[in-house]
Amino acid sequence: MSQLTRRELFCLSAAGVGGASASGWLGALAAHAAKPLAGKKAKQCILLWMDGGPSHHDTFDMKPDAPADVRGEFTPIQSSVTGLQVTEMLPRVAKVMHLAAVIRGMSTGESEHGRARTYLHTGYRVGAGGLQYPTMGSLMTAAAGEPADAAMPNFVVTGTHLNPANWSYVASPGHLGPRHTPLIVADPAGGVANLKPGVDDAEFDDRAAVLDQMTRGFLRDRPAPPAAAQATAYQRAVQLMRSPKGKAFDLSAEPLKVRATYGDHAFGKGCLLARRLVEVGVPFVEVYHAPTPGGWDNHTGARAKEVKTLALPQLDQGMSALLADLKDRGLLDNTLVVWMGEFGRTPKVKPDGGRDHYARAWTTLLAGGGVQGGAIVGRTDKTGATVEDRPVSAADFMATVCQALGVDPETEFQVGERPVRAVDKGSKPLTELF
Amino acid sequence: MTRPQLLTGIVAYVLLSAPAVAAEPSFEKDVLPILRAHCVSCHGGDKPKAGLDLSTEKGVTAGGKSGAVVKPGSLKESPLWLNVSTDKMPATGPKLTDEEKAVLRTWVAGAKTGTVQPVKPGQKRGVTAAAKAVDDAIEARLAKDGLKPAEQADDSEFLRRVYLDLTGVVPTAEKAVAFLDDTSPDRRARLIDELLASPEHGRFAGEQWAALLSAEEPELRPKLAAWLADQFNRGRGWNAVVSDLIAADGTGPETNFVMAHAENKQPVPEKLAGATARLFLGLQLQCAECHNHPFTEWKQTDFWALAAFYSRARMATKPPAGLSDSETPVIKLPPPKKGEPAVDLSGAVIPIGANAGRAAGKPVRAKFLGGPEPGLDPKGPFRPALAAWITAADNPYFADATVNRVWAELFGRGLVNPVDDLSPENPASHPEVLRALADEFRASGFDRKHLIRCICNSKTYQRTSRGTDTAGEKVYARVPVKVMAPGALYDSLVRTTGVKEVRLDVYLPSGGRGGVTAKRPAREVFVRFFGTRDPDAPGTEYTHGIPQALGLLNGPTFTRPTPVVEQLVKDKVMPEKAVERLYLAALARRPTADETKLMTAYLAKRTDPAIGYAGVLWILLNSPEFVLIR
Repeated sequence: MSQLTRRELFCLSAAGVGGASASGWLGALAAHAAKPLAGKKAKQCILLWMDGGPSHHDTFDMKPDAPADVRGEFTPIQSSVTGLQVTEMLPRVAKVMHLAAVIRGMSTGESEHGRARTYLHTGYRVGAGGLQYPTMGSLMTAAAGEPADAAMPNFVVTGTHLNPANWSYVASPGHLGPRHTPLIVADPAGGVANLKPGVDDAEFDDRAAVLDQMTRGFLRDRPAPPAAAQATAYQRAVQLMRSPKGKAFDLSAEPLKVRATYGDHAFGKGCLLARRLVEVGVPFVEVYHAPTPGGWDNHTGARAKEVKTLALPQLDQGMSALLADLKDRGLLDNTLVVWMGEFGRTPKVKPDGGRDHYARAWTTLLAGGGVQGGAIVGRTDKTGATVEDRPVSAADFMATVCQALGVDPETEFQVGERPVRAVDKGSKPLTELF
Repeated sequence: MTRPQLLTGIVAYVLLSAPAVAAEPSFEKDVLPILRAHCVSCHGGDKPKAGLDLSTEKGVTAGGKSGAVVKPGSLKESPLWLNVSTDKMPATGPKLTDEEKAVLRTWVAGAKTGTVQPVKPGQKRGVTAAAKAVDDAIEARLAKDGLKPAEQADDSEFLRRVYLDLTGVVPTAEKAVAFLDDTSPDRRARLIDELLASPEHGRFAGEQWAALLSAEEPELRPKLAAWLADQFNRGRGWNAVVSDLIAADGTGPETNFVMAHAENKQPVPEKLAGATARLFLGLQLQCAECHNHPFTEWKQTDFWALAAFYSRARMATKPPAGLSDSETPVIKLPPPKKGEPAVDLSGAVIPIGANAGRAAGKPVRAKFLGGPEPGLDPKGPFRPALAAWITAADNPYFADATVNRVWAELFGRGLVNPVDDLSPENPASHPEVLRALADEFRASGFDRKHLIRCICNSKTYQRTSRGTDTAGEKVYARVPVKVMAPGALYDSLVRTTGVKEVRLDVYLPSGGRGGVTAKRPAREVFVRFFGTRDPDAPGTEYTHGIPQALGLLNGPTFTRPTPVVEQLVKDKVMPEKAVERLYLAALARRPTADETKLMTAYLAKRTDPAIGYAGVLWILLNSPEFVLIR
């Protein structure tokens, strides 16, 4: 093995990474890893997850004519769509409702948090077929194939207060295996852990160049799959360190004015991070919104107060900023934004002001990604208790997201000897949305 | 597979264990006496007829003037069999009896490799013979495939591999030097014994098994791992250990297998049935929970009949607290509809689960898989009967399933893959190896250490992993490259660098409880963070991603000088010597001349040796050679 000069290393790097650095860190491998996707540009997705289950009565399916113990404390206001009213708590969101479609016929039957979170994230009921199913981001990115940009992760989850007891539903790749586990950025303002080298850049480059030699030597003697996989993971990690796109994780690079528009709270920062990641091509980002450990789970008056003072105003600020910003930057046509929780809340308000779990009739939103803005699909009865028109199951909803993202819901994954569909049989996407 | 085929399998097993009828006749003991009685008066002596000498194995193999008389494995192409079976031979004297013909037939037909000699049940072959049985079968298969076995691993390759495989940690630099400089011929066998006798062996094996036994309940794992470590280190039979796990009562650590398959702190019989079949019997029964298995003969009732043994396992919340078989079944049925008789749930019986398809609610009585309904006291307990059946010497699955898993621990994948899918439709890559080792394991009283000792002393285990052909690796022409388990990676990092702990500034990426890392022990955080591989997935799969790579590249522990580096600086050793010490500590080998040149050139540019040595160490720790078991 002869010592390569710096100049030769640079020549190697020209074949692959094309990054800003002078060293050729596994440059030859990079040429294989960074194959662009053939054909048209893939769609991207941002999932805004309202953990705990927001009330449809208190957000996008208001019942102002119902009795006081059903309509609740909030007054409807007119939105930017004729005939569509939303809660007074979401004045900024009201102004961008022409970008979003409201699905009022969610009817999913699972009203226990854990089971419903999994059902809505996977489209399959817990325990169905004795399998664990992939969360939405794992499913969509796996179905879409290898990422166009090997330097960036293809599925990122962000947001604090991830429910520590039950949060694997957000990040579990299920039967797809650990390769499809998301990169988790627990603190959206904190960025990716360990992304910066612990030594100065020149030292890092020198070390990486020698490491490159060691790696090549090992691969020459033993070109075994685990050795190649190790080299690829390291190469992607170093590419991320060096990629200008890695800066997408750094919110401080954003102008103060923009940061202020999104809001100085985890959800607003998560939305801003999502926009920055989508901008550099990350296919799927999930932003988890639960400003308190209870999230949207407003069983009691005290919890309802948390929702009123924290969850709703932060949602208003973050989501309205995100939709407007995506629109302004021309990203919305290609980016589907999903707003949902695991279920709605009971039509009746309890004496202390709380509402309990309710899965028979509730509401979600879809925006962008070719979805018709301003559409209202489905209808509940006078009290928001039953779906009178266009009921939507979790599998139907998943199939609709698939359609928006250009993924075939009948895509089959091989799990051992058994083919498993991306979305369960019998699901019907909401084709009228497109 | 169809029901009759399964029966054949069981019959064959019974034949094998009964000494009266040898399923694999030996030439010396079974075939030669027949040839002597009927053939050698003509085909023997100084001038054998037709140049065919049937008095020795060599002569039989050599054949006569008209060519070979036995084509191993093919009756139709073996004149010896054709002539004898049609009574054309012997030309004079009495013809062979049916029994004698049967022995000859079995010998010719089964002489595929002609190498593995059967053992009598209860009688160990011993390490050398068992290792040879493995090697003979592996080499026969390689010869058949026209492949050459790779050369034996050099001492450093063997040293690091056997350390990581048996104790889950790299050797110290001092140990590496001592072993590499040892020239005694039995140094490898002695090292295997030394490692199997060390407490690290039980600790490592306990951690691996605890992960399997409590896959969905990481919180229960530490106690289970400690208990298992003790069992392994005391050398208890695997049958006794498994028996304790299945039949566990009270509050001891062994109850954590049952409790790891619970909901709301109560055992769930169907979860336990699936885990029991997979982990102890090597059978994938879980599909049969909801419907008859599509690919094997297992029926939904087989699954639930197994679950029925767990139907009364309960955790008492009031004193006397603890796990036991209570009188009330875990699953209760809704009251029967009008006109329908009430389902009798007394005794070891369980209704098929509510979500398990059309047969839901149908009561199923406890029954051994492919075996009889045991006569159980309706008052219970039932689990001891299941434990006894699974771990009995004549259980048709237990020894095979365990051998297959141990093989996978050492070679990265099983003789049967997936490791928990032993079925006639999914045959072993080397059935002779599986059988020879299962016989040995059974004969040793399910002594796991003995089994490991047999495999590790084989030439097959001690081959190099170097090589580029992919065909050879599948049939063990060389040893597959594996990936360290997360705990082994942690312990190896600590041992190599001398740090007290490796703290990662990360958020746990998957599964289980406890998203926040701050208050947890550093090793636990590390193991969970690097635990990206399914415990049943092949050890040859590298599954770490970007976050794990970043953790090792830039994590806080290795950017500061570590004790091993500080010592080198303090000792003021020459750069070449420092490089050698770091290679020995990290990779259990000395650097090549080229590597010394490469590293000293890197060092020459550093004015501060602490930075330089830290750099060399960083390079070694991040190289594939560190995290992989070559």
